[in-house]
Parts: sequence; structure tokens; C-alpha cells
Amino acid sequence: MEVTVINEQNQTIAKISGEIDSTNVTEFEALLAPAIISQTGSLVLDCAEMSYISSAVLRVFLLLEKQSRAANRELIFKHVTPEILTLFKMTGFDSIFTLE
Amino acid sequence: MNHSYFESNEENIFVTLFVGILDLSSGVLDFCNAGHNPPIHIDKGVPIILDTLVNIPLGVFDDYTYASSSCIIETGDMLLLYTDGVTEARDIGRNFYGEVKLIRELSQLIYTTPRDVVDTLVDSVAEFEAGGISHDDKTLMAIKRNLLSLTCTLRNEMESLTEAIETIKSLQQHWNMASIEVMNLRLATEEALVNIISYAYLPGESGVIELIIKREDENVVIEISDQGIAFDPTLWEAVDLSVSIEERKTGGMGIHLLKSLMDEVTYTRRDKYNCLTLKKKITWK
Repeated sequence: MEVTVINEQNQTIAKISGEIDSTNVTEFEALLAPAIISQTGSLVLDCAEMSYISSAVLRVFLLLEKQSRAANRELIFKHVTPEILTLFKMTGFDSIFTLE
Repeated sequence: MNHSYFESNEENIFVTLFVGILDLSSGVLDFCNAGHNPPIHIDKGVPIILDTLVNIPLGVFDDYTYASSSCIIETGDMLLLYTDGVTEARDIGRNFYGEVKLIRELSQLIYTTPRDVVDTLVDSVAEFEAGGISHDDKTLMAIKRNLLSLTCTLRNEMESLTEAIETIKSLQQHWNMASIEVMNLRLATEEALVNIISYAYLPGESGVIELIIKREDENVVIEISDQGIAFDPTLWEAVDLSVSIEERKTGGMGIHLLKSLMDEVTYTRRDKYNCLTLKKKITWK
């Protein structure tokens, strides 16, 4: 699993790749932290290379969505694979998250 | 067999034969080779010519005593039987296809189905023979001993998840499953295991979780048992998907996913064991 954070003028892009489950979700949160802390503008999660997530990751995403709304910051999920989109739908997250 | 064939063999035509009985539970193959090309045993992906006691073909002597041999075909191994029309196929320069080429082709075919093996070899021989003349009939038969079940014993630690995940991922090769099906089984199992690891035992208490994955007809059945406190996840209240984000709870999603991904999730408390059974119908390739 890898997270690459790119800071641009009006947005921060976090490119997520690989598999994330309960064994590495803590590490994932730590890698994602720089994209969240002390950043402004919208936060884009590029999920094109994200091949697997468990409910532990869905929980991180839900908390992040709540945090972003509270901070009036836009959170966008980009390039979510069909397999992971299925999981978003199963949990009703497709209607909560902004997907592009 | 030799006797009954000998009786009717008025034209003195001998027949080569390989006869074997494979015990699917132990993998023991008892066989007798009557002058036939020795089959090729693909042993953990490595093709080797099966070491056989060679007897004379059928129909030669009525009173010949045939000797048998045995070997073990492990799960995942394959056995390829073929007639001499395959190895004696000739190219335009009249060279034989031969056992060496046959083995070379097979060594590039690890983890494939018997159907793939036969199709690939038929194509390979046809390509070899192109332009030449085909003399003999060619028959190929591949048999694979499939793994019927996998088990692993895990400790109630998050680190154990890795072993369980690797076991489930290996199904893709063992059972030739689509990656999406494997992913769904992995996710459901992982959610169940995470719950057990996190809540079934008291903090600091060590426990054991048994994981059994098996094929039953069209289904994959996963049995997970632990000796922790009684907990029936099937009774867990469904996650309300209609509420606003502020009201959405972050818990319970694992069980929700588990139930959504599987066709059947059943729980029984047997003695001091929690037994959770997950069932999913698979579209086998």
C-alpha cells in the first residue's frame, strides 16, 4: 500500500494504491494525515490504483467525510474501481461521498 | 483384462494400456503400465516422467503376470496421459516431437486447468506437424487433483490476518477462481476474523481461531470457529443506510458487508465454540 500526496494551488491530491485492510489501516491513516492536516482547498483521493479495502478503511473514509464537512472542505473520490464502488453501494456510501 | 482380450485377439494385435486408480482423499495412485508411454506427473508445477514398472502390452501372452506400482498425486498436481501419436508426431524435417519438447511445453503451464493443458498441447503438436504428414492418432488426457479444502489455525492477533488472507488468495490458483470472487471471500472472512480478534476474547487473553475453506458443489463454504464469548453476528442490527451522514454510525459496517457479500451466513453456538459459516455460490470457470 502506498499514498502519494501532491499539493496543488487549490487542492491536495492523495494517490492511494494497493491493498488496505485491518493490518495496515493505521499506517494508511498516518500516510494520509499530511493531506488532511493544515491543508486548505479540496481534498482529492485518487483511487485508481486502490485494489482492496475492508470496512476499517470505509470507517476512515466516513470519518474523513464528516471531518471535511465540518471544516467546509470538499472531499472528492476519483477513479474508484468498479469492485470498490460495489462496496460503497453496499454500505450506502455512494450517496454520501462525492465520486468523480 | 489381458485374459479376456487375449481370448478374442485372433489377429494378434497387441494393445498398450495404462490403468490407474486414484484415491481422491489420499492422492495415492495405484497403476499398472502395460507397454504404454509413461504418463507425465506434474509435481508441484514440475513435469517429470512417471517412474513405472513396464509390463508387456495386452494380448501377447495369456499367462503373463502384470506388476503394479504406485505414487502420490498431491493436491494441485496433474497427470498427463498420452498416446505415442503425440511424441512421434514429425515436423517437415521428419524430426520427432518427442518427450523433451512435451516436457518443455508442460513446464511453462503451471497452475492451469487440465483443459488448458490439453488445448495447448494439441495446438503445439499441430504447429509442429504443420507441413508434414500426420501418421498416428493422438489422444491426450489430463487429470488434476483439486484441493477440496484448506484449513488454518490462527491466534487471536491482528498479525494472523495476513496468514488467513494469503490462504484465501491462494484459492485463485487452486480453484481457478475469478479475482473478484476471491476478493469478496477475502473481505467477508476478514470482517468476521477482525470481529473475533477484537471482541471475542478479553484483552490479553489468548485464543485460537480455526478457519476451514471448502468446496461444496457450486459453493465455497467458509467455517470459522473460536472459543470466545458467545456472539451471534447474524443478530446484529442492520446498518441503516438511509440516515444522514451525521447520524451514520461508524461501527457495524463489517458485519453489514459480510452479510451483503455472502449468500448465507449462519451462526451456531456449539458447546463453548462460536461457529460461523459463510456460504457463497461461485461461477466456476
